[in-house]
Amino acid sequence: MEDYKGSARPLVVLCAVGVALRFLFLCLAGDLEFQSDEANYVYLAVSWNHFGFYSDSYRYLWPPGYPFFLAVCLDGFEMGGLFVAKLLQVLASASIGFTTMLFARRLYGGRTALVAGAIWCGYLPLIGFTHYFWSETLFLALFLPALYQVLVVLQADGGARDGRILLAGLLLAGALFVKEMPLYLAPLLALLLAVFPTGLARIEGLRRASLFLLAIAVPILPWTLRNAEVYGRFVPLGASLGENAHGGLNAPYKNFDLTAYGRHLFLEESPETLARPWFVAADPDGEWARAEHIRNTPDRLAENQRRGLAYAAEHPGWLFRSRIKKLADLVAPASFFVRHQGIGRYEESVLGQLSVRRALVSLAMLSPVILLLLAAGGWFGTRMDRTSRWLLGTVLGYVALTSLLVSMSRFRIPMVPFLIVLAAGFATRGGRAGGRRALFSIAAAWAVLACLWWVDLPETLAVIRYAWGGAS
Amino acid sequence: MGGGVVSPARVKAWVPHMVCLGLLLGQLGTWLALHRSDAEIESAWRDGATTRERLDALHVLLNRGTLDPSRFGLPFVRELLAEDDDLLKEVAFTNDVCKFLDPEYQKTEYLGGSHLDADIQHFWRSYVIFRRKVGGGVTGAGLRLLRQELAWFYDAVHERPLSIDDILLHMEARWQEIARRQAQ
Repeated sequence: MEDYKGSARPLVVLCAVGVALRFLFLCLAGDLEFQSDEANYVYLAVSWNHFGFYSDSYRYLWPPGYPFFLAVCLDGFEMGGLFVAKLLQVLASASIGFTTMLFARRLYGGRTALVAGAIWCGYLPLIGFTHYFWSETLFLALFLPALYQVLVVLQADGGARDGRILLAGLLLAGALFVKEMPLYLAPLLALLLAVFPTGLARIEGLRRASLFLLAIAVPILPWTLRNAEVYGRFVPLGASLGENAHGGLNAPYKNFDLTAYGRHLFLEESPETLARPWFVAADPDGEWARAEHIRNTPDRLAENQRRGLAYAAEHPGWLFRSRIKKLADLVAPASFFVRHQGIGRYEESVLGQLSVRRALVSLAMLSPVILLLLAAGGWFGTRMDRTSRWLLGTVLGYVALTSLLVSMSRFRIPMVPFLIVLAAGFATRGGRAGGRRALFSIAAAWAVLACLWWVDLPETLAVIRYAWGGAS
Repeated sequence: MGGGVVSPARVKAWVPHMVCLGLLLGQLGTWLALHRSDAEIESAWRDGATTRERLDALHVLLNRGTLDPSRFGLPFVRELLAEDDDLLKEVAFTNDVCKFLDPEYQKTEYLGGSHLDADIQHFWRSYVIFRRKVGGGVTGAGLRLLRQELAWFYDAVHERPLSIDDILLHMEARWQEIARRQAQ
């Protein structure tokens, strides 16, 4: 653990710069047309306001947080609510930037925090989400502070205050209302709280862990009970696994960074068809259909999930090959910002002008490549305390595992702040730890990344062509 | 440790847990107390004092999955569309209702009929709710919502004037978009 008690002023200044930059992008982007799930979120918000009840999405049972946020904005300002929602997202991004820097300061010290802040400021794939109607910004604005509080408790030698544990649980519950992804991360974090700091009496560890879980349970139980009342099933917050199983544990290969190109550019062949066959080839007759005959939404989604798992169990070879592909898609230099450029969403704005577009696309595609290389260096080549390593490893591993179901760069977003911290750590403190063994590990990690980028190279080249040239 | 006496400090450390458990139990108790049986929901749908109450009950009735789905077939849809209140008519275009039966009636008989001329605002709200909903073609959804469509939806909600010509042109363009995609 580094000296983390320096002045907060430089961090606040960097945070303000990052927020200002995001506001500038919001203004320059103008009134973007809805893309994919954006339209779905807006529809859910509008129908909530119109009918007074929150409808499910038939294929998903999305948690209510993000549609509620949009519903409040639209209810208050009608069409102007769209801008208000984005403006609030820009402001909420301050939480992401500030917490990223706090993590970096705790792990590596003040100088690294400044570098992490600078990377966060200019990281285009994150900037993009502040002016899209996807829940990533709001989710991270709650998720990251929750994890930071967990880290502080894990590192507290002199006994942590219960307030922090309660705060961590409440923030994580808030994040769960926006995205249910970390639902199963909660028990893993509780396990860490029970174990760290080492030397803690077992009963005290259990006390902390149970308090954390209770603090999560209290805010999420009402919506779970609401689901029980409406659907007759106890579903904590939401259920998206069934539809994701249909997309990810099924014969056709889908990558949501790519599907939009075919649809919007009216291409005869989507870039998905360029995927190297060995990684995606599947028995075409094995494709399974959704269980449309089941009227109860949680039951239907559970049946879809069961069908997906059954398909995976019956095709172990395909499962192995296709998961390598999913991993490659997870680390590919794709992003929704690049996709927006490629399908012409920014065409009406300054951001879509040829020279600006090319500069931004280059930056957006290089950013994840450089970030991943540096972050791998940070993981293997920097010294950090054991608790931090356990926490980061748990979170990064959990998010990576959940991302192996459906391909798309959006699922990498919860990892990005931690990758920024590691990258900043490597940039400022790389080479000070581990010696030859660390160098070998870094080289091996870079080789793995290079192999994964090679797997996705045909689609990546197509994406570059579309994004560089624009939709027209 | 000995003696089996628990110190006040140790008891105090578990107070937040007790508070949380109390809140959880309170929530469970409230839910059990307010829980409505299928018969109560049915009654609230039939005899609810306000449209909102009726809609709220209908939402549960259609989703709980305990009633015979054949109840929510075409006669039920016709019954909804014959309601006096526009909001009750418009719920016939949601996933809640459309998941029970191929919503051909809503599409061809209702939205394809004379309602556009009769009440453009109600028509447009119904059209957006039906064709732009989340869930795909199974429940009658077409293409995704656009900003212009949302702007007109708000005009329709507040009964502001809408241009039938603009709407017809827009709908035609979107049909062509569907045809183009299907030809891909």
